[in-house]
Amino acid sequence: MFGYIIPSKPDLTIRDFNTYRAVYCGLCKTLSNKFTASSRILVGYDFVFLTLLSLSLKDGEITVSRERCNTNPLKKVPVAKGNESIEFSAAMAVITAYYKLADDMSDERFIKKAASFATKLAISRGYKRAKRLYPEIDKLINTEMENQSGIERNSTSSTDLASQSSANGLSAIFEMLSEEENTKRILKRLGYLLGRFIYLCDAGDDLSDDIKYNRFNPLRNRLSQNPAEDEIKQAVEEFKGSLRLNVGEIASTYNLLEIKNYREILDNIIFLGLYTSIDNIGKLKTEIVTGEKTE
Amino acid sequence: MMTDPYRVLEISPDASDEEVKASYRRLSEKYDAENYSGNPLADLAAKKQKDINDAYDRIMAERSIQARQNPRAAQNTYNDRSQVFSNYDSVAIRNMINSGRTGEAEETLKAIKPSFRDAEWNFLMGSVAHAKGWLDEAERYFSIATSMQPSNKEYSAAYNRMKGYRQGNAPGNPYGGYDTQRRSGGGCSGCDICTGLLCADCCCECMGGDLIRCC
Repeated sequence: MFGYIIPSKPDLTIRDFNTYRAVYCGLCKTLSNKFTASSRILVGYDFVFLTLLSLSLKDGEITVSRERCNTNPLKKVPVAKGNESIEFSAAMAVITAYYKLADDMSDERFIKKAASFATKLAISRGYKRAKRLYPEIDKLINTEMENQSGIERNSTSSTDLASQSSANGLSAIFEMLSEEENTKRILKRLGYLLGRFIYLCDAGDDLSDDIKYNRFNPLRNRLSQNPAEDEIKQAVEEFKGSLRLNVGEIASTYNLLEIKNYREILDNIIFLGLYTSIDNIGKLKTEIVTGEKTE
Repeated sequence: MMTDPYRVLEISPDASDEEVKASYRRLSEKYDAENYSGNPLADLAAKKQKDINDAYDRIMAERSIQARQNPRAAQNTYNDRSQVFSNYDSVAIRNMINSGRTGEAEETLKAIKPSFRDAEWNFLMGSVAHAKGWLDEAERYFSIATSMQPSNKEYSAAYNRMKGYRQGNAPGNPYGGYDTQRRSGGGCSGCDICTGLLCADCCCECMGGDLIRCC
């Protein structure tokens, strides 16, 4: 729900933090207003990044107004709205969430299946609207999800193969942020590498559970038949090197873009936030928030 | 349409000569051809490098100072380092990769007999994987190419670059090196932007205080 393309909060200036939050709230509001009321749970950090990048490339700025928070109506918050970039991100959030939920429904466990079904139903009207706006993206993500199922059925130890579908999905989304040929080439690769990063961070985070519930995970074969917690932890730690390699390539691609706006926030995310995500993999939620290690 | 050379070098027009030179050096390092050898976007990096060189020359000419002593070498395209192999046409394959025909390159490489698969073959396989975004596979092939021919600078540059990234060195990092210390020092993740801080401010305001003044 939250995402891996995050900022490093301690390193954001207060001004940048406010901008970030205005976009976050703007996404939530746009999801509520333009799609369905319940689709605001789909807002995530990855799509805040997509919005900021889009604005930056278009040399666009957000206009911020104060509105009541949908979750806490007692509060008025700064909200960025009415912006093509935000609306595009919102549509993408709905479409990708819809397919992810459909995928979750193939989970064995009843509770998970039921929850995914309920959520999918709640956002279905919004999904249909988003699909009408961007039919090519919807079709592409649909195809990639099918490809992914095929890959998982045949099992693989290749992180590259396992992440390919997610990577292709995000690649297509990012490519839509520009009409200029060279910029499209860069965005296509950037989207691919970010999609790959997200998928593999997820694989690292979910490894323990995937083993427990016998679900596909490309890292599975690095471990013994009945691995102890320590063995799993060790494998995840070693895997983090691959994730850092991924970030290096993301940075080298990002450097080629003409960033006109929100430079500091985007730099923060790429050069600090992504590494923070890597460090947080395998940590308990409480450890992440308080920074204290739990034994 | 002339772009502002000061903007290209990311400095203000009243920057000192030292600042101009420092900025030039920093940006040059970022777009160095070495960092993009075998990268499908190498031509775009070369263009950025050229823009930076031009901007620097213009500023220095305006300030009537001698142009930089060592003119940067012309962009080393992927092709410049190619060698001719008798068993298969390595140059042709490099051309395919250069022009984005990675599928074709991969098919051609896979059709080459196992006994002909030398260091160059491994390097080209790595480059194809790298172009596709298959980073782990790319690293494996670059590693093999380097061990088969340790003296080859092109192979070791590609491999060492990936090893560097693996350790947390991102190119053009405006924050300096990767520092594990600062990250594990109790910093919060992005997660609590919404939950933690907002809730805290919320509660605070309900009680009559104000944690974040502007909200």
